[in-house]
Amino acid sequence: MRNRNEPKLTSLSASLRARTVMIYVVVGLLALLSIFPFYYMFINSSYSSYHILKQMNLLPGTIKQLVMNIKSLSGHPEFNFAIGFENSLIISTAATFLSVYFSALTAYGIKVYQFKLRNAAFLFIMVVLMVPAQVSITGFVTEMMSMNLIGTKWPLIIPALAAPGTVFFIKQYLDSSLSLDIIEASRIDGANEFYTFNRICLPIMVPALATMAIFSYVANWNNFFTPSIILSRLQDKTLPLMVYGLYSDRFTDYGQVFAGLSISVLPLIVVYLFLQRFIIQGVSAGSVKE
Amino acid sequence: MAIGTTKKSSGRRRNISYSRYGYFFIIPFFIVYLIFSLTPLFSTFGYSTTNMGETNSKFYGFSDTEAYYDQYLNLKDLYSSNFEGDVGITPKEYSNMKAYFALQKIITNQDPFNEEGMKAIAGLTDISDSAKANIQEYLSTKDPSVITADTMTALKTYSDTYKPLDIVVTNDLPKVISAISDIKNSSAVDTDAETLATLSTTIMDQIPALVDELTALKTAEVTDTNKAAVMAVDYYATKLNDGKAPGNSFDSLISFYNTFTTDSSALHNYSLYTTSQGLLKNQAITVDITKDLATLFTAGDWTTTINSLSTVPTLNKFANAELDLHNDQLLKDLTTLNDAGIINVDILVEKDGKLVLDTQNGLLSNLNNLIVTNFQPDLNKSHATAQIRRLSIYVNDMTARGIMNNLDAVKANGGIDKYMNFSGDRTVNVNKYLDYKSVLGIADKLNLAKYNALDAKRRSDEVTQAKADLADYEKQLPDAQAAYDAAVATGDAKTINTANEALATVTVGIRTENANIKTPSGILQLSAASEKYVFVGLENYKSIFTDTNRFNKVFGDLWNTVLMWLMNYVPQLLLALLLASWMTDNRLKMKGTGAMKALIYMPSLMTAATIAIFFYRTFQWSSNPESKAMAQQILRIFGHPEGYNFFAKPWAKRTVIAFINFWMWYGNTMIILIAGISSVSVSLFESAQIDGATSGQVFRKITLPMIRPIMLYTLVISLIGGLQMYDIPKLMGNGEPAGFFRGTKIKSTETILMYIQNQAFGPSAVHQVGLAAAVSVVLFVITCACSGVIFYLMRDKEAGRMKKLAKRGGDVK
Repeated sequence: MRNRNEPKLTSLSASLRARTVMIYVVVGLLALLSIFPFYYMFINSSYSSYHILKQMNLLPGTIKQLVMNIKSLSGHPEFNFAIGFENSLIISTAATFLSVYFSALTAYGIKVYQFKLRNAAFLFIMVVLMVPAQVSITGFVTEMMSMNLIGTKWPLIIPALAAPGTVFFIKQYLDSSLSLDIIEASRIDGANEFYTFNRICLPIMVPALATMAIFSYVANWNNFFTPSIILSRLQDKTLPLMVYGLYSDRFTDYGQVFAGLSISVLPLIVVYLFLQRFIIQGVSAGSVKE
Repeated sequence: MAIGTTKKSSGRRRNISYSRYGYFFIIPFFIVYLIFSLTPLFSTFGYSTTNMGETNSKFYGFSDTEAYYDQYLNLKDLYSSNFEGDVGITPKEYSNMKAYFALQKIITNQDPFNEEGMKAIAGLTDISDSAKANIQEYLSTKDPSVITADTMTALKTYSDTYKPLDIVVTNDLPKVISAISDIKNSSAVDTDAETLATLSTTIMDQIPALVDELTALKTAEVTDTNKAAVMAVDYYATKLNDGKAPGNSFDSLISFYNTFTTDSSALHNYSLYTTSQGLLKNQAITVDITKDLATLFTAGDWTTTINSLSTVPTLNKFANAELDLHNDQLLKDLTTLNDAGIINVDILVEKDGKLVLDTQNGLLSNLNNLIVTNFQPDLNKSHATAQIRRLSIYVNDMTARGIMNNLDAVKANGGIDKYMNFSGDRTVNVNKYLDYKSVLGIADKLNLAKYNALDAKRRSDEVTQAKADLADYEKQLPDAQAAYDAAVATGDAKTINTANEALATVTVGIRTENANIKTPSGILQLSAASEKYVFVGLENYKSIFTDTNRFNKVFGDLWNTVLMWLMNYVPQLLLALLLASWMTDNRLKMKGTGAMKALIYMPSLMTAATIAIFFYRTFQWSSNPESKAMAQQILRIFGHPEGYNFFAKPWAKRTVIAFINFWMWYGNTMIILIAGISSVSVSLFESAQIDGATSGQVFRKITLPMIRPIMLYTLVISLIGGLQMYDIPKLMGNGEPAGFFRGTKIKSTETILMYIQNQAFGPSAVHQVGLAAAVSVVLFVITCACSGVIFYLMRDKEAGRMKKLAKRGGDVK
């Protein structure tokens, strides 16, 4: 996937071919192992709770049971797919955009400009990278209460703008792939600093941004801890919260739960399949060729 | 943004002219971080110096002490004899004030004028037209005063006559909700293990007396006065015997009670509570162990039961007729609550000389009938009736409103409504409140100085009392110590145990009284606030490091976390590196790497809940040889027919959890490493190839050094994530099985974040937010230290040398 026009310097020897086959087998097995739980989740949507708890199902169950599970799911007072999907979509998309764009902005600012507080700013980001988010949850909730933001989407979207981990990753990426010459050239052509960033440097960062976008999207989509504290009304809930509403420590209908889990992960898989193409394209788009 | 001046001079001067742009680029990050992360973090640091749920004269966390005292303190309890003289305000004025708060509380809980409810009333077909018109008028004007007394009477009459089963059930539910929230909010319970042990002993000591009473009743002649008692014995003995009448009810009950005299852990038995409660109610016994049992249960069992129910979060919706009551789950949960004694809704009636369960009345019977008869509710009617109930409560409290509004001063200022808020912000607004108080003219009578004086007096009284009690205990100490030493000398375990408990009572007493002398609780102890923050300085930190038990629990959990992280990170990084090097190897030219990357990353898409269920089923062990769990099947193929219980041994369980985390994250790490390798200039690899380097050499000499920054990133991120490991161990059996750390029993897969979560929001009645915050801060410091060490060890030595050169004056490009 890197430079495909390189000359063939070596012919494939027998040992190399054997190694290639071995690698394919290993990677193939790992890939199978990775998607097996998805298969398990989907086929269990077509079993009754009793059969899910009794045995490990490896083959699809009956369509009738699948329809029953979906029916009981749509009749469940704590589950409404349309609302949950809309909320999850809004929160994940907005949070991912903010997180990726502003992290790129911050990382670029620190990488490119030699301002006075540059080292202090980077050191600060490195330090706060280590602050476990869950640690400050009590303070966060109290503050959101006083700002009257409990029950809204803002506490789940705005804080994503400041993602030290993403900044750090993009900064590391820029260290190895951004040449300051490009910026010089752009300046000489009379471009303003933000134009340079948006039009010239941002495309160079695409591999890193796409990687971080996937991570951020998945993390926001599956996030349970913070939304469970911030959102309480059904019309505000995200899909994972609704699926969790199906659980109970005593009488959980696992058929229903698996149907709910399958439905709630489907949109994520679609988004993922869409974004992962970006990574592969983005990586080959590459950066400065020397 | 203005275009920067493009100077075609030296690079140095350009840098200076552009450098200020850096601030524009980084400022959004810093503003948001400051507001949404740093401020909460510092308030968490603040919480770490407080304790929640304990009382002390100095407290922390409320913006206005005076409003707090007014709202939660019932001064009438404190000064019953000479209220006006002591407090400086007439009892009537004080009642007004409390009524104001009571009203505010109702409004906070349920808006008596919520629009949907009012619309439901307007939509009723069988109320009088005038009442309907009146409600319509309210809906258009939104002015509560337009609702006439006649309308209220008509509505009340309507709701009294409309009482189908669902309304009867709906009306009973608030009692259930309040019983549950009482237990959930109970902060009065001391969960101190020693206190609970003392409590258990007290209960066990009372049981012989209880049995004696039953024996006496057994031999007594049956008369009209003890007839109910004897029937109750029959009823409860039958109930304990799974509904079948035992041969002799008395003997059966007596032997039931005798099983509780020795083992304190057996006391956690709901039947013991409900049976004792029923016998007590019917005067079969007079010894009351239910109160102590209730305290014991509130500290643990009951909260666990409540948390395990599935409809509790939605109970309010059932009570507000927002959810259909034809719900088996609700019935099951209410039955469980009833069996556990948390609520008491069984009604017993006499039939043929025996007590039987009334199947026509009572919440459970009504709900059961509702479900069985498939009664179809009229949702609008139910909703409207619930709303009428709310409205009535509000109107009843208008009495308080009336008193307030009659005060000339309040009237002149626009009436009490000015200080109330029906929608929007529903919390007590301190400024508004103080404004209201000054209008009433009680602010200068009932002020903070007054409260502080009361507090000082009460504290000095407490200290005097505590000193007297302390002297008492100290007098007992030598005797108790001597008795204990003597018991040890005899070597009899039971005697030692009894003497030890007696000694513990004295030492705990001394410790408690010493604490009371040091920090008397003052009037705050009398307040009914559900949560209080008490400033304790560095006590929380001190207790983490000096209390051996707590130290071992905290650091044992930290040890578990680090172990499980290492066990997953090392193989994860190795595999990810291997895969990344394969997929980017020019010579291999693997096809379909995109698809494989996509597939291998897939596990990160799944929620921890699904993964936990999946792996639980995969490794689950059962004594049944037909167990279908995959791991057990594989073991069977390899000659272990009994399989292996992975969840019973600490190391096996840790390995399983580490494996799950490894499986979840190696794809993630691999993608990051691939991104890192891809950013390395292609020409480097090409020239290496031309020079005849092997794949291994390219990997060791070029790839590894070039991706060091990215590897550092994965290491730091994984370390931080690893130290915060929570969901998988939590969902895979909540930290079980038990293990040991420096001799203290801990849960072998409990992580440090689970400990924090348990302390702050766990099932225990007392939520130790302060301790949890302190442990968080310790965790934060440890994480910082670890990351610092990693950065130091992996720092870019080359860059460091260049920087030094640059400082010396060279302009290094």
